[in-house]
Amino acid sequence: MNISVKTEGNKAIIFFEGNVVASIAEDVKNALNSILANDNIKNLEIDFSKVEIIDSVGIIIIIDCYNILQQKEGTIAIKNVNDNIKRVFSLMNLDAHFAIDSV
Amino acid sequence: MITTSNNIDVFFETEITAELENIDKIDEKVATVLTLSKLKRITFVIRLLLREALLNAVLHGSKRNAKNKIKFKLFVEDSYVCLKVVDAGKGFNWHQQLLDSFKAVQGDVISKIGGRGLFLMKAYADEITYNQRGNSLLLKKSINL
Repeated sequence: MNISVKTEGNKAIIFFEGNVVASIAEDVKNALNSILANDNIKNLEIDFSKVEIIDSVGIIIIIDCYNILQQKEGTIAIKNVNDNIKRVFSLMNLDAHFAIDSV
Repeated sequence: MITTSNNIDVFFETEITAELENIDKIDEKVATVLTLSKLKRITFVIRLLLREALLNAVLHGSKRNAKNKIKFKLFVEDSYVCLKVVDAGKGFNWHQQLLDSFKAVQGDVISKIGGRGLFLMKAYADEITYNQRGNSLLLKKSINL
């Protein structure tokens, strides 16, 4: 999993390149936590265009980000997600809480 | 060994140590074969199911102890793709966990309750069967070509 980040004002745009699954969960969590530790960052946009699959551990990472951003009065948005992963997010009812946009 | 043919003869059997990286290896092999087979249409679902089944076996059944072994088998029977995962753990109260798994995704507030893996397996599999002890899981997904 490669993770790259760019910032635009108070928004961090994150590109995941690889699957968001249990084996790389610690690396992803550490990367996201270091971004969220910046007080200036209120919003996250995560680009899923290079993600084929997510598992329940990966979903919890996204939920943790959402919960942290709620405390910062910010938002999270998932961009360029494939239809299969979009359905997983939808089944988990996450689309009721933040924007999830297809490719 | 994985074999494929025109009449969907897909079979894969292996034994792994209880390490998360081994889930990725199995997923990669299965994805490659399914993508090239008549089962391509349900590749994502099978990958998700095998990942969640193995994840439970590694994290809960085996307590992520690499000394513990997990058996994995993928095969086609009748009109179903079947996934069988057996760990050496003491099992769990799967009756209650299956019931509780819905709580993980209900309500206005995103819950921290676990059980999302079981929820996903229930959502995507057509049949989900545990043995009484709870250390052997059989998932079935209809081929419906």
